[in-house]
Amino acid sequence: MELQSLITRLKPKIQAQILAPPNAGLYHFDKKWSNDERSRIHLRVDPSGDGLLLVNASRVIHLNPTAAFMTYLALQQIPEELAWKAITHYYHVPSSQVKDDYTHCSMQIEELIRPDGACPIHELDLEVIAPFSTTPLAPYRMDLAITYRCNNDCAHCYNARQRNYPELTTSQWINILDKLWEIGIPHVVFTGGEPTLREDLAELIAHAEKNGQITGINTNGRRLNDKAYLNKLVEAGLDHVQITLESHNPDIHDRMVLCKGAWKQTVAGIRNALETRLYVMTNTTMLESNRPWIEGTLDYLASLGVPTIGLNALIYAGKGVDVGNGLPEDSLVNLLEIAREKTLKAGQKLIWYTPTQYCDFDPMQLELGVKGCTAALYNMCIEPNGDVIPCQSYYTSIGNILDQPWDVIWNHELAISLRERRYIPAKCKGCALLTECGGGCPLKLTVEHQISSTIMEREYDQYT
Amino acid sequence: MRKRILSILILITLLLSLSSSAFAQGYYFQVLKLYIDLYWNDDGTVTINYVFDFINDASGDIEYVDLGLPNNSYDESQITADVNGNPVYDISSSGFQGEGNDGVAVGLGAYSIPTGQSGTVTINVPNIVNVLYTDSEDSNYASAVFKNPYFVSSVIHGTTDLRVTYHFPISVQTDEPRWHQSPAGFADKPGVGFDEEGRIVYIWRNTGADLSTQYEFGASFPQQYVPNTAIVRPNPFAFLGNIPDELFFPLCCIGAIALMVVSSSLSDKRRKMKYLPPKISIEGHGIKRGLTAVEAAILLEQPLDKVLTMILFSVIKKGAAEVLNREPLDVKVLSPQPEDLYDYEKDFLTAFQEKTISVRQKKMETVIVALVKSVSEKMKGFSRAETNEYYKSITQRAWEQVEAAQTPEVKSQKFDEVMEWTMLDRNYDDRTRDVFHNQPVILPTWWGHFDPGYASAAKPAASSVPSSSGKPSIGGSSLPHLPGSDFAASMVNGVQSFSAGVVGNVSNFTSRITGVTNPLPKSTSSGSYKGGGSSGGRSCACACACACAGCACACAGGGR
Repeated sequence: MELQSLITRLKPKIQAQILAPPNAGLYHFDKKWSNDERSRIHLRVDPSGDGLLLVNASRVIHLNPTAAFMTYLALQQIPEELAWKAITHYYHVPSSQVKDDYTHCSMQIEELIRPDGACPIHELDLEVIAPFSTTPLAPYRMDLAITYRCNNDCAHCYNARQRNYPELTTSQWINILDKLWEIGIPHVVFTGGEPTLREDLAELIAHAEKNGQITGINTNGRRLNDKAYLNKLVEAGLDHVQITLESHNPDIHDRMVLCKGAWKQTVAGIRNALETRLYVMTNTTMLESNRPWIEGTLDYLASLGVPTIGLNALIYAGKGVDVGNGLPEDSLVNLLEIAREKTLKAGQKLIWYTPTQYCDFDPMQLELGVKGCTAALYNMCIEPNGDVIPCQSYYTSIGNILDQPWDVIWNHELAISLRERRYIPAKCKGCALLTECGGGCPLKLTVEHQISSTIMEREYDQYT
Repeated sequence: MRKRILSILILITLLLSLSSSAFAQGYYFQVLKLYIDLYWNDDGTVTINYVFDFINDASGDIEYVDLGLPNNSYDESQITADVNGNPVYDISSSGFQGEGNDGVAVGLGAYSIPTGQSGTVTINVPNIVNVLYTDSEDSNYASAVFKNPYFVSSVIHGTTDLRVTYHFPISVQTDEPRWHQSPAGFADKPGVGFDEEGRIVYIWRNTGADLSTQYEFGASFPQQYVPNTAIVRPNPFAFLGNIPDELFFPLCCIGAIALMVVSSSLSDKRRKMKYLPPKISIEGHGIKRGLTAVEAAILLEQPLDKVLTMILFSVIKKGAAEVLNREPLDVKVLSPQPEDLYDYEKDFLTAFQEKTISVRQKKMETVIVALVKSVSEKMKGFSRAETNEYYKSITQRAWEQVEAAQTPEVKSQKFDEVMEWTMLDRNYDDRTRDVFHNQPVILPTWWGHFDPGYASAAKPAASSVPSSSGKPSIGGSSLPHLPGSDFAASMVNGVQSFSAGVVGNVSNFTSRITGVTNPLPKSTSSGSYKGGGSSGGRSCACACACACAGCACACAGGGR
């Protein structure tokens, strides 16, 4: 009798599992594997039911509504039989088909989120859709330029704002992080200026991580020279760090960043970061100033044990417009062939950032992947005062994140014109590689053709 | 004066015009959470469990909670309640002071909620009868409609996490229940799930609900799962007028049913969605163009002896080697080497300079392993399926060009131009014989380097006329030629020579290759994937994440 009585009392407290198709929103799953690896998984569900699966903020997978529902169930590790029931409940479909489809779909998802999982294209045979062919409702990543202050003064810096640009308070940035989560942005990168000059950086990182966002910083690494400070960021939950090193030669680096002694601190910062659990990469801007020493720099980074090397060309914004030491795109091939060879030999990953015109430099030929402009598409940036700009180098505000609804910002004329690539030069039309190339960096085009970057909706023919 | 919380619960009888609760003055509170679970039992009754999270913002304690109930068809002695897990026993219908006739008062006693404090009150009312009606749209279905307890707006503030859960009878199948139109502020369809007893549940939830509002929730399920007698049926004579008091309840039920006709028809449209099979896609390139025929052969998983033969033809055509003897195969590397050799061709020639057969086989393995890895690298981010189709189409077009040629000269020229692509055809042997069997074939300039005995077989015996582009000599019957059948046999036998003289047992050779390029997959719970095959196979430790355009690292902002 006592047992029966207990059951009666407990029965009303049974918590039913909600197995409905997920509502629109962002869902975060943190999967730890037996080999101590970890997968941070975000499932973003659109109001249409379509889903976007982001694995460690790098692999992006598109899901139709059925796949999104199945993924949602699989990621919650719902027992298969219950999942089948839930799906058959919502859809007109024979249960036998659901079993087959769910088994296959959940197996694919498992492989997609596994660090050493099967190749999605060659082994899973996923449908391949054209690059940049989908328009999300929000970017995947938001760069947060929390300050434009900087303790370096790079001669080629793309920053076009005053260093004393107005800055938001900590609570305002926290509001922004929350808003970004609501919008469905799973990945934030704190940048600047130099983000480590904000004393609340660790607090902001911790808040974003609490939301479920993946966090990173783009830094010159000088403050990471201080191990205690770096550990504070790590303890806050920071996931990755990108440190700019312009050369292995201290003099070259210091000359490029116009700060004596910077190299020493930056390299110490890299060394310290490599001792933590952080995903560490460096970035080097290839200019005439450091071109002759690129090989040495790559060797040096390999000797430090940096696992991922980022390279880019001059960005045509801020001081970059007039610095005059950018490399012509058609001269990049040799440098990147060297970089590719060296990184391959050292077991490093090479990331090439700069969107180029493929007729001058085709990154696909060097197996560097598709690089096109993703501004206002996959990534955007918020300035220190809350203004949203298409990317962290494109200094045209399209609204303030604190004051304006996201839809207004996302559908700003400039954002649409960039997404629709209205800036593409006439000469590119009809090119077989246009989908991947996209005409290169819009900022470079604006500089080359002396046009306003404010609105790029006009046909380019008139300038070319 | 006792301080009470008064609420009204209404099931289907809510149309009995209950509008608001009467409250003692001075109440002011929040209900942070109200979770209501309705267990629709096999006997046609319902057991309702309420969990209220109150915050008392008034100046006095909350001592009583009055809970309105749909009727008085329950056993008061079976009602249980607790406050923060502490049972309370002061439960009586006679003390009910809420609006309407039916309900219970729950005295919180020692666990009254002090001012400024919060408290969780749980009330369980088991086995209420007369709560199911015939579904107005489907007479085989029982309709269960429920409205939440509510409070007058002057005493409650804030929003409430309101969750209403229907637990259907245990035997109800997944595709049987139907939801009615959801109330405003809730998702247009309830969540569906299963409780720990395996009962199907419908869940409506609004974390920002207004508890001064009544929300109506409804669902239907087949009547067969409850006794026929449990269904309340309308009085068929209710429309006759001069309704006596005793018929009031049935009349109201008719009214309720009329309402449900509307809601049912609306909800029907949402009951099941059209199923589209799951589709997962990834951004990337489509076709990888620019592969050589040899690389395409790896991609298409052609037998490895054929791949090696293709390399042999390739180096012979480029003037980098000649066959000294076909059986056993012996190849001489010529010098100077042309500059346009691919890496795999250079490696191939290096391997052939090794005269010890076992060592040569080992080196050939290395050639193929490197080739497979190179192709995999080149395929990063490209669609294998689309690329396969692309190269198959090239093969098809190559044969069509050869077959369409009207003269032996043109046919031979075309074949020389595209022969490496025709070799990708899995029916290469048969098709070669079919195409060439009934007419002579003008021999290409490099033929002498492939067939050491051709001089005696070819007619005339004179050497062929070299063509600057490596194309076959053309010029009529005086040009060196072979009977078509001999030519076809020679081409086909080239492959067999390779398998016999160079790689030995093809299966073993292939196994050694795939052992490197496609090792047994690590054991996972998710099973294995296709790949491998007889050759080529999967060597795909791909980093497609960064090869694909959707990669979030695109333009990640360097340049500082």
